[in-house]
Amino acid sequence: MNYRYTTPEVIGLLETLTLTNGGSGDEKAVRDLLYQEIKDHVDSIRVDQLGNMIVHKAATATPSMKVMVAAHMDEVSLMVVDKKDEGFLEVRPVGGIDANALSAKPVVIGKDSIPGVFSARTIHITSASERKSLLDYEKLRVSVGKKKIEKINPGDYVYFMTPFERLGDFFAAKAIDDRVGCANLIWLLKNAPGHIDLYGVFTVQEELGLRGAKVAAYQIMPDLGFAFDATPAIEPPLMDSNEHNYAYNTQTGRGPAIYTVDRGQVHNEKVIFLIRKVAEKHDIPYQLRQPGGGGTDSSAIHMTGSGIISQSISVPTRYLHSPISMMRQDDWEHTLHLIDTLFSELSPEIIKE
Amino acid sequence: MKELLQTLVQAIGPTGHENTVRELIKTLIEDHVDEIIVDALGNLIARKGKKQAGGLRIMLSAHIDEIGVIATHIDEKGFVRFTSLGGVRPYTAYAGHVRFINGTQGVIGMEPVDSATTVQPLNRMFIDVGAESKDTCPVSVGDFGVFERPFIDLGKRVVSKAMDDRAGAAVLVDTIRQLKQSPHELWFVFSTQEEVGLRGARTSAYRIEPDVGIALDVTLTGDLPKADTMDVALGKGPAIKVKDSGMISSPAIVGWMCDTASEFDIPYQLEVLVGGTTDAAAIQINKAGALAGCISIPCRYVHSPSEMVDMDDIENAVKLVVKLLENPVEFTN
Repeated sequence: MNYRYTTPEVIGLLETLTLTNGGSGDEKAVRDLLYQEIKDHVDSIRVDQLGNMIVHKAATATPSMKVMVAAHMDEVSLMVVDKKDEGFLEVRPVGGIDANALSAKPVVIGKDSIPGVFSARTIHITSASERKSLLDYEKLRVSVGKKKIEKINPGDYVYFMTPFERLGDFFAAKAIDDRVGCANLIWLLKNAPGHIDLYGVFTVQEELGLRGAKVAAYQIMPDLGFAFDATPAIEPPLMDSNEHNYAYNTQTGRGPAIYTVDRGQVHNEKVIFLIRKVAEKHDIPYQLRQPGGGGTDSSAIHMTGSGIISQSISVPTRYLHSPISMMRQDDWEHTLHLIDTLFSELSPEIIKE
Repeated sequence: MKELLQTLVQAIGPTGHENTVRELIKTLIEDHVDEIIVDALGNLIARKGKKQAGGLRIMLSAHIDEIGVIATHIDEKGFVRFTSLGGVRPYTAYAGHVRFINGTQGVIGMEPVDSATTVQPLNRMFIDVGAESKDTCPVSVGDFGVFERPFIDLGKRVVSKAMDDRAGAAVLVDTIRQLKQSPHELWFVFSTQEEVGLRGARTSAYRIEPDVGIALDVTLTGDLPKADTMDVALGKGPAIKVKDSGMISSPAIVGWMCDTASEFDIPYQLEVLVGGTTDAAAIQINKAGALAGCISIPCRYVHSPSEMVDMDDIENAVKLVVKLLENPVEFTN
């Protein structure tokens, strides 16, 4: 297909974003990168006390509507909690990571990006029963060597050392959750229609409980809110082997995921209806994310003040919250196409009773 | 009152899609209030009166959402997989009747179980809407539904789905109609999404910023065979909440409610609820805080499609709320 939105330049930005490290509470490097990318295209930028970067692109047409779009800068990461003898570190996750995804993975630690490797069981000398047992953080260590460990302290962040690669129709990288949302928000800030008084918020600490979005929405009190994020696509053979397990959340190749009900929010039916109408009009494939658990910055926005209509639009992505995740280019392309056409058609009608 | 209650409980209002109930209540109260607002979360917010000397701003909240289901997947044979909206237990769901907002009806089946005393979790159940294939299934992913069951009139006691919390809504509707005068600025909130975390109450309290918040909701009872210990029973009057798992009622409010009930010979019971909470919990900690309490309608089989209440408790709850609101009150710390 012909990619109008995910141009080499846009892909390049995603690559740089995913290769930059920014765990929850340590988003500065990502923020600085986004600042350089957007500063010449907007009216004002400020950083609040939690570290959210609030970017304002004022409306140039009337009637306008005040719209907040959140994309979180933080990725799942880990933190050093203790230094052990023989150059080993004990670590704990910052955000949800399954310990079983970590064995033998390369990482970098702290401000100086000291390389390390997660420990692994060696198949030669493990018993069959040992191999069947699950890993947990008590059993895992990161080895960095006796010399380098002296420069590491408890509290240092640990990041996955994962390259950005194209694998056929897919991109594979760490932190697609939610650097793809950040890239989408950058695109929107550069291309927003004139009647949108746009507050783009690159939020912090989403992975620890939507903390940045909560205080940002309070500062902005928009008419309408959005979250741009990535959402799991759980596909065979990793799905539960039970043939009746239909809990896939989303599927890759079916277009952007429109949230309906998640743990934190019942999304507004009028907005969902508008999105479906716009998608169908422009022939953009989309999918309704399966109702269930999970949540995005959108749910923090919608509970702000006396209530704000808010919607989450996410890109389906495999292996989220692991050292490497995979996203299809066409899903991403369709997401940006949908964002483009949807924002052009947004009007204050949508928030009227 | 029984007729009003029946109308309210039989309306369809799963969490997040309360519009049918909202429109119904709007027609019942609009001639008796001064202002009506519907906010972003769908709360129906009605103001009656303005704050006068010696008066307070009082928010009364009854939630209009009910527990329900939402479709997550339609399989090739047209069976609807679903998840719950609010606290639905598998043993009350199996073989239950469901009605989706688009009118489609169905029955809940489940995958085989090993013994007659076990039940599958909800993700191993499905709704059979009589479709023969995915293409002819009238339900789509994201469609909302509720449990259906006919209203039973047992005389003093009545049974239906959604007594939680249309019983509270009925009390507020009747209060609005009966209340002739009040020194207070009264905000009646028919709140949404209570069953998934008091969401409607939270945003409406933010808007109203009340001095006092009162929730009208149902509570459990301890009057069934081998029931857990709880000193609330059907027919012994509205329950004045002292504590639940989300709120300790403001002592001043509990005292005010008990004194008023005693003064006007209205029967009441005191409620300590071990698990569960109400809109009042959200109102109490809104912004800089508010005095808050709750008047509960004792209810058996809560969160099943057959919730039972006693009409006397409902009538007495209306009496109590009207008496509370008619007169000035002063709270001292």
